[in-house]
Amino acid sequence: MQADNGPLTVRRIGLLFPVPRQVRLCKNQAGILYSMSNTVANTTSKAPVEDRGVTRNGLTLRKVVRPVFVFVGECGVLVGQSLKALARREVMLSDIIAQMAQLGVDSMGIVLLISIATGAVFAFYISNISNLVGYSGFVGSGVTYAFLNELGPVLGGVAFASRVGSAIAAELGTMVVTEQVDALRAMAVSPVRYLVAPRLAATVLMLPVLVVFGDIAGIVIGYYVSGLSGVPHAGYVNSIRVYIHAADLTNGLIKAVWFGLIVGVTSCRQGLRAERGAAGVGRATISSVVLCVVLIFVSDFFLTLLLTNTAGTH
Amino acid sequence: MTGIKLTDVHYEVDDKIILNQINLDVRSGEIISVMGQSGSGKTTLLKLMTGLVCPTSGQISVDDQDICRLTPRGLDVVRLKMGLVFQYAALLDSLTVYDNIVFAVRRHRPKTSRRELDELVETLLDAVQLEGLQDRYPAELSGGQQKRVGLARALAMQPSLIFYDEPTSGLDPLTCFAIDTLIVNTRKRFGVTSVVVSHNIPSVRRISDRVALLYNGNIHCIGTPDEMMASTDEVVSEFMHADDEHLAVSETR
Repeated sequence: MQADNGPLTVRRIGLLFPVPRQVRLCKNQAGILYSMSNTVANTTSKAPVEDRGVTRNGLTLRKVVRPVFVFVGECGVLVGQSLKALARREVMLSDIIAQMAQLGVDSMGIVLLISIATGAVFAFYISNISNLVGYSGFVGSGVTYAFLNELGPVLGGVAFASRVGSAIAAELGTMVVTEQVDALRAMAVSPVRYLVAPRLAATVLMLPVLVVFGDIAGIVIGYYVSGLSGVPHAGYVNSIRVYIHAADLTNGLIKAVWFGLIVGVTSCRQGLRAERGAAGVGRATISSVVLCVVLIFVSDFFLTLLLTNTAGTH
Repeated sequence: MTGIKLTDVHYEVDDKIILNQINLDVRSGEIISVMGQSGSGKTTLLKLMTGLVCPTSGQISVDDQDICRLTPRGLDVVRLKMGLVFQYAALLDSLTVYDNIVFAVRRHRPKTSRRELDELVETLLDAVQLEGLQDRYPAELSGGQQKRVGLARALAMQPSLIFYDEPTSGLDPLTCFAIDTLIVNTRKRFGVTSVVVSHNIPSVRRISDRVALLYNGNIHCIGTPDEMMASTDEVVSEFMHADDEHLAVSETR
């Protein structure tokens, strides 16, 4: 696809990195977002380095930094337009429910499986160590604290990125290369309203639900595995009662919402950037999963610092 | 009925000129075909006319509204008057034929009852001679059937302007003829203005009121099919009689 018809949303980002005028984005054409970054790349490569007064180091820095700003800007535009469409009730409820069923319910199995496996191993190790040092009364709170704050949202987010993020990127990528997105626009149906907003709503709403189920599965399996390792069941439950607070659950849910947003917007953005046939769809799918996982882990660190400082938990 | 006018339309990508100073006046109710070699910019011209792509310069007016200057919402209003039949149909593959046809209606006229939708689908499938296929998915249809569903979908919003992107490419002669008949009948039945992009000369001769030949990014020549066939211009003559020449070459073998 080439330049588009409307005045442009991402031109604000152009204040940071000016973009040629013909590369304008339109509110109802998410797919053309990529043309901006392409043009950025083209303008960077055309003129000799000296002509632009940029040193080689400066150019390298720009090559690294600019795509990051472009990525953040494009994701911001998609989120902004989706929120606007949702707030104006321009998104059909049936589309959101269909996506929630497809993306959320179908992911329940893998999230539970991963949580059970991790919970069992984690409880096994922590029980053994606790028994050695004589602190077996902390096993329940240790497993629960780890699951609510960290393991639940991160494992759920990564499983969600692998299953749902790849599916979204592949589906949207295929729609772009087979002109289905153009067909939507030709029917005066905004791809953001029909494709992006329902998926974004579904990922943001469903990941916390999956994480809660994952947390429960991990904690329950920890109860049984620690019991096999000699930790008393009553002590396991009692330590949860004493040391675990509501803030632990809310911290995990805040992370889950954020990770859901990351998976939704990143996979939609990567899918809508797909080009050059099946190979392009494959690249979009891979980059979607990689980006989602990296962003989940990186943002998890900062979120943990932020939430711990804000809530002052433990 | 709606006409469309292109004035000094110029389009380039990465400093490569695709279309140069295109001037074209599509009259209300006519079937005009745009011909040209592969890669000559025919599909780009169609995308410009439908507002899917914005020209580098120039003006494209639909009912005296310059679509390049419209807001996205304004453009959507104009697009409701248009129907676009894609080269490979571009049906939404997760939806059935029924859902594809009523897709735009459900979104733009949400109060339409189920009974009205059923009647609409029945009428349109009858028009494109695909009765009884409403529950099939696009993957279960042949190429010709997909194109006909694409046409039914394009007609669902009762547009006054229809664009066909190579409607007969890759189809056998009988299906080509059926599609041509469909295009002509669609104009008769629904009174639409039609722009057909094609390089199938027999098909263009059958359906067109006028033919425009795109050459080197320009509209090289425009006229009725008979005028084009009789043209002494070297480029026009070579293109319009390409089939005859190839036939003659193969006969001498």
